[in-house]
Amino acid sequence: MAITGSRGIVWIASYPKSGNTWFRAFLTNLLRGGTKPASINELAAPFASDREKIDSGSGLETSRLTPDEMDTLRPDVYRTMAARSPERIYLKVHDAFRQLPGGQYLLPPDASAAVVYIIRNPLDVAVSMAHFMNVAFEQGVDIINDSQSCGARQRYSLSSQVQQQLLSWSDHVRSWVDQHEIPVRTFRYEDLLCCPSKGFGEAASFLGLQESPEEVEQAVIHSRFDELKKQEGFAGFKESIPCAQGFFRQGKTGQWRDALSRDQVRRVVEAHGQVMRRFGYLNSRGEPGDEVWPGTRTFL
Amino acid sequence: MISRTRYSAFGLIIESEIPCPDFAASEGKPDVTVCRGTVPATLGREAEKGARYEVSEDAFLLTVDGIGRYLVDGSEKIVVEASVGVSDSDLFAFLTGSPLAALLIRKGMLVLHAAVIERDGRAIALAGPSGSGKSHLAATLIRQGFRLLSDELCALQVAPGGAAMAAPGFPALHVWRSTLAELGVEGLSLRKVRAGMEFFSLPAESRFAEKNTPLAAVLLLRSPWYPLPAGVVGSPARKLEALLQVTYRLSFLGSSARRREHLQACASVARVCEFENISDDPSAGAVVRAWERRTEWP
Repeated sequence: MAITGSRGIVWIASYPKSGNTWFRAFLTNLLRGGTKPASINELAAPFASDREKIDSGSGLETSRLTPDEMDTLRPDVYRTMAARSPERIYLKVHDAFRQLPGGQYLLPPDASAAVVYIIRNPLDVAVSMAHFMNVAFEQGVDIINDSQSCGARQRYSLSSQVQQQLLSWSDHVRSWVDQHEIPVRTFRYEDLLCCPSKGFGEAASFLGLQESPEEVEQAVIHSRFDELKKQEGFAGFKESIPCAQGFFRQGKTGQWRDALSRDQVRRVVEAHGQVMRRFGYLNSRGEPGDEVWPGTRTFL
Repeated sequence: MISRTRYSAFGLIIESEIPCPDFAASEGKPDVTVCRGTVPATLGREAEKGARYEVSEDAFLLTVDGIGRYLVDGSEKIVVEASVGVSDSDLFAFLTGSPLAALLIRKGMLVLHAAVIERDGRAIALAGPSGSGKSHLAATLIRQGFRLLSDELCALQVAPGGAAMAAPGFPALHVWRSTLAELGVEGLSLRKVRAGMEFFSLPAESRFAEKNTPLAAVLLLRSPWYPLPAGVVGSPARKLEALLQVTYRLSFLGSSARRREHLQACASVARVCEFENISDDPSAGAVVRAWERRTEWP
């Protein structure tokens, strides 16, 4: 069922390297229309964790805040953003959906309209993470298995993003798809890749965007992976990080087969088997394999 | 008896009840007083409100959870109400950010989010948002012959149609441990900006430029939101747009008259200064290369 209302924050949520930016490219092209692809450096749904956004929204120099103090501040920044905006706001988020020690949510439901949650096979997430961070695949596995995983960890230097608690891949997925505070619709990266018009069309319908099937199709074409990669090669991508080996790498599924060792696959399946099975990433024998792609489907 | 010390910062004599360890000691008639006192929780219904700040025509209020409230009352007074048990060091850490910027704005200065370095009597603003590497770059460059004019805030006195003079801030840089490591500086002897954080005050007295200096160039360390090609920015409109983006919080201006004056000041700076987008390579080398082209600057 489509969400209603024209205000509040729509969170485009995912674990890192799960297709969030690709979704934002689709959303940008859909909202903007036009006959040419939108620039990847002008994407809709900016980072919720952007430090400058939080600094200007709060009036504080957040470089002086500890990560815990920052967490306490963030809900009010989002509330203020939502209250000030006459229209809906889209924000990209990698934080897990979590409550702070005082009980309030980091991402406040009272300022929220909906969540689009994008999930990707953790075996491929580990590979993509390793490429992005320019580390060994073993470390990619370490990151998604770590229950304390953080993005933009603030310890010895300052990042343009504030620290984000990702948790492990399974904990992240559960935190979003099992919460009942904000309407959520989950899309598998693999389904979007397999049948983009259907998957993205369903996402547009969920968000109550009234564009025609032709407009959805055009936005899908303008956000194709080869287009994003071409733009990055030509003009760079400002959201990438210096150590990354290109942000848009291959945009395929099943990369883990060639990249991960048998032991690394075992570690991921041991840590995340339950959630992987729930979302079709393990077959009936508990193994990752070709037969696990059941075709396009979404998880409510 | 209340102890007050006089300091010099951003061209002002500041008499403060709160110790300001990074500021240079000074004498003379104070332009500004910083005192402890009771600060209201709100400036009232008419004030423009953010998540932790309020702005009215005459005042600016900042609330820092667990630290205290800062009231900039007109252009000559900052009142600080500390939370229970807060250290002077923590009070000072937040004083040098938004409250000081709001005060400088009320003094009629154009305040940019930039570190400023000086060489041969010309000032260069390294502008960008928090986390873009301003202090790191300034710390690197003062090892290469430049001098520090200010860190974090660039306070400009802009004459109508004339030069923009950058005020000397205070002789220290606030840098993270990773910067100290790159500079080969041992952090043990340095004061931490806040206890428990790997964020230090790096003294720069010997490399501090103490005089107002004409601003010659603004180098943009982070690509603005609108498309701006790398390299020299020629268009006055683009320069103006960039200045509005690196303004230290347009929302702190607080009145339409101040917004008008701000726009005029930005237009003046756009006329008299060189602008370059170095976001593709925000390095010391890029700043030095820009400096070597100074004969082409306006």
